[in-house]
Amino acid sequence: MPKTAYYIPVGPIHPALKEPIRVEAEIEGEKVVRVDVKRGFAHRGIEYMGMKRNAIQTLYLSERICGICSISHPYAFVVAAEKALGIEAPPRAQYIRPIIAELERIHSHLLWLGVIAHEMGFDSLLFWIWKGREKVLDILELLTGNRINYSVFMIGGVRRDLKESHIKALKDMITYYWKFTEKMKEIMLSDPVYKARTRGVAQLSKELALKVNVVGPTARAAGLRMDIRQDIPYDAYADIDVRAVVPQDIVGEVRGDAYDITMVRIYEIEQSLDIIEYCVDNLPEGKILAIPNYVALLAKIRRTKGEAIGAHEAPRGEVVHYLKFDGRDGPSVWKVIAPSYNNINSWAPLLLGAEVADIPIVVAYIDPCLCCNDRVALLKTPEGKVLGYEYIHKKAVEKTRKIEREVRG
Amino acid sequence: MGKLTNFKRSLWVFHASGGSCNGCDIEIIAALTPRYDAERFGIKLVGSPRHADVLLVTGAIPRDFADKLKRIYEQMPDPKAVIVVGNCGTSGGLFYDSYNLVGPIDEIIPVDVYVPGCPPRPEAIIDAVVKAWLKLEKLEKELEGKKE
Amino acid sequence: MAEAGEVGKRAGGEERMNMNAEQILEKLKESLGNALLTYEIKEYTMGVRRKRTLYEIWAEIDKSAFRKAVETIFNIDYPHLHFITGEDTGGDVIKMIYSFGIYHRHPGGEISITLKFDLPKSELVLPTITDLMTGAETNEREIREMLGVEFEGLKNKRHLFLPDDWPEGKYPWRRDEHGVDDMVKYMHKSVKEIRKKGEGNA
Repeated sequence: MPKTAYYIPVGPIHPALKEPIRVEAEIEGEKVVRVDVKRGFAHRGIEYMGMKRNAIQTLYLSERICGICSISHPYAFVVAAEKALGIEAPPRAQYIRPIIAELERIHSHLLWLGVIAHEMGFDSLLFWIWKGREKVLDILELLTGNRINYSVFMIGGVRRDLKESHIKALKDMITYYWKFTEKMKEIMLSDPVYKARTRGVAQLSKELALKVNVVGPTARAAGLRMDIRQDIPYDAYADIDVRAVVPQDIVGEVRGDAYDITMVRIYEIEQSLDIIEYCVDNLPEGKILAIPNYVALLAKIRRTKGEAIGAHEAPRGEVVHYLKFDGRDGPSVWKVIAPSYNNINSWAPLLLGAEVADIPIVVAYIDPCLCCNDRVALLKTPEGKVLGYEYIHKKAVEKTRKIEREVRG
Repeated sequence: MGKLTNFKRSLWVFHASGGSCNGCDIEIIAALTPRYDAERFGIKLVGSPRHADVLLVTGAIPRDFADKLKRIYEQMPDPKAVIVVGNCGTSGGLFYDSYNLVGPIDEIIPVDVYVPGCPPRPEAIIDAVVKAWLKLEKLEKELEGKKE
Repeated sequence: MAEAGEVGKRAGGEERMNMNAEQILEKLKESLGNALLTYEIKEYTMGVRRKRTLYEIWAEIDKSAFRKAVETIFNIDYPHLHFITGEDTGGDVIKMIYSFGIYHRHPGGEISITLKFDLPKSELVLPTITDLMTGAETNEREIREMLGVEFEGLKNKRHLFLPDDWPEGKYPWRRDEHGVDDMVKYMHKSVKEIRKKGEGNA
């Protein structure tokens, strides 16, 4: 059979974003036989800009690397800067920082659950989950002042304090979300249609996960117990014993497919609720910034010569920042590694042999944050047809409906 | 603000993102969820610029996206309106000295409504779409007037 | 090199004793000999109520021993590559920095090993490590386009983040004549400039 090459602009991460992540694939019949992944459509030169500004401006720049994991980049930056400068944040700040980070994890995982529901064709589920997500955004707005891009972290502590009224709102939110995740487990994990649709799709084995260097829930769904909060603990995580959530602890076996990763993410939301509750109950008293005067902070940075690596477990995986201070009031070398940088390596092996209808699920599997990483474009081969995203999405939905008919009879 | 009198069909919106951090994009989609619910006004996101009335652009534009944006703008049928969401498209925002970004969007295509903010709230985005709607009504009346 | 299966077994229940930072440093010393120029074990205490100490190994090595050092690390435990970066100090060397994390998947026990070495700008060539770890290809392609370092044995040499029509010889992280300071566009305008532009239209 002659091989025809199809360009598949594998569609957006969010239901309406049109910026192509284009993965070029050769298809025979219904299966993908050759895959090529190219990146780099949204390169903004952030590391170059950060090396010219002072440390506080670079901190605010790092917030806007990604709008979804917006507090993860500042967190890693602040951990690295405190290690390089040798200052320690006061205990109260060390307990407030994980609270905000875990709130962000909840909102990001709920976003992903909505997206995966849409990719399969359950659109009303998408709207229902995103409505439930509004509660955590309300709490974030109450604590920090904004729904996205909350700039509360600073080198040496946090900029805003937690008040008594906030604590009551946090506890109400925790009760609400425990009920919500119970319902999520019922709708997604116990549903036979969902199980049939996701079992075996995008299966990542442990050996392959180690070789392609994946991080985060992608690695945990494959069975690796990798979690920065467990391996290199920092702030309040060092007091709490955080353990990585892996499918073999929950159901006894691990297969690394889309069902497993849904399970990992739902249970991580529950783990976040526990961590927030612990931090709120044990919040120490005291001040919130080690060096409140920013001019003194910048002067200290100018006097220091040092380098450090800071890592944080973002909702998608490990975020690493490397900083070197060398006589300027800002970093002279700055390197950012976002989780999607490494996770996208898993697309090429996972897409080989997959059906066209499963492509949206494989793409959404790693929860790609392309702004963290720059987008993926395609290579052009000489002759080729372009299949629109709607076509692929339609095929994905048709497969779900077919499975639904078979399962429900 | 005037009253919507003439626009008899619902408003279809095409969203293009040029190198943004996705914060504004998430707020655009949050504007469609049940809390803010722009869909009850008939505002819908479509997949192709040829069906759209309004173009929503976010982000400061990287070098190789500039001509794609021009092509998207030219593919849209008249009457059309362009809304720029966020600080990056309005004036460059935080990324004012990059080697790969070519600047605020109004240097590439003509813009009708600006929504400043980093990111702007979903209510601000709905307000901007309604302003564009009023402008489109005026443009449509002009077009019909020209035909006669 | 340890088999991936063996490593997987260790993740569930500890079957081998992990080496601590000093023992790892001894292993590096004995395999590199004189090529290990300076070394340091950094200690950081983290936590509020229960203090924990974390260790990191920072070593400066000679460029010729790079591949041997990486293989030693892979023999201890299959690592996770944190990042590869480089610094152009403005002279005629580029300082490369490789960072690995071993014994991840052990609570509180991950040890980061960071290797630094100097590459002369006249000979920017390094052996690739993609035969040991496929995922390192992304990092090496980025270094190739940002600093201009060639990797022998790297199969996929296409641009990663920069557009395809990027001018030759321009490397964004360099601070010499190959830098990109002339390609920067300053987008901020002062109020006077905007008003002047508006007057032309009005």
